[in-house]
Amino acid sequence: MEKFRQRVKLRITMMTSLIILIGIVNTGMLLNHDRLPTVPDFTKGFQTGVFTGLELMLVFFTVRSVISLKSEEMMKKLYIQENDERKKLIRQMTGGMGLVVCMIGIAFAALIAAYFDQTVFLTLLGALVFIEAVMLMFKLYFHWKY
Amino acid sequence: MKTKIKELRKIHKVSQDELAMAVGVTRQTITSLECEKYTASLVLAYKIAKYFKLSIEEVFDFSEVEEF
Repeated sequence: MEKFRQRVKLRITMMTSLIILIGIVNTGMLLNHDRLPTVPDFTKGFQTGVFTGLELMLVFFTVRSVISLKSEEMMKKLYIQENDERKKLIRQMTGGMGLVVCMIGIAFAALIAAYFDQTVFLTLLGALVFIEAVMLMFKLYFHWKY
Repeated sequence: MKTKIKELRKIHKVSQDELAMAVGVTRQTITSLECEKYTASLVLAYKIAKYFKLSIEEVFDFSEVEEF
């Protein structure tokens, strides 16, 4: 449990740093919006949404971790929540199967896009190759690890 | 896999929550084990057996495990 406690402390430090960093970047972008290239409103809204969502998520997890550090029972509950073997299996299965379905979807979309727009086709193909490369990298890593 | 967890819990008057906390899993995992929807890892099987002061074979039924 002590090892996990240290990991939570490290996580708090990292998340706090990230919150500050995102805050600085966001504020910088807001203050210098006239110097930045003009983007459509939808893109701007999307960027703001991503930043805000990420900040809120990080704040939530930081607060949860800080509260857990103060109580032994909460710490154990957090440990169980993160290390429960059934949950781990569900996460692995979801990730593995979800990725395969996404790849098939992207491959089909690329095939269809090839008839209409070459840029879209190449973008989807690029995404597919990238996902494959990442998967291969992890496969090799885990083969080496276990 | 069939288990005797439910019977053992009743004998020892232990709730799913208490057992879950003692062996370091969620209550849902204990439920899944009791409903035979999930098979415990060797470590979890050991922890549960140890909790009831029994051997793994006394808690988990391996008779239906296929042999190659």
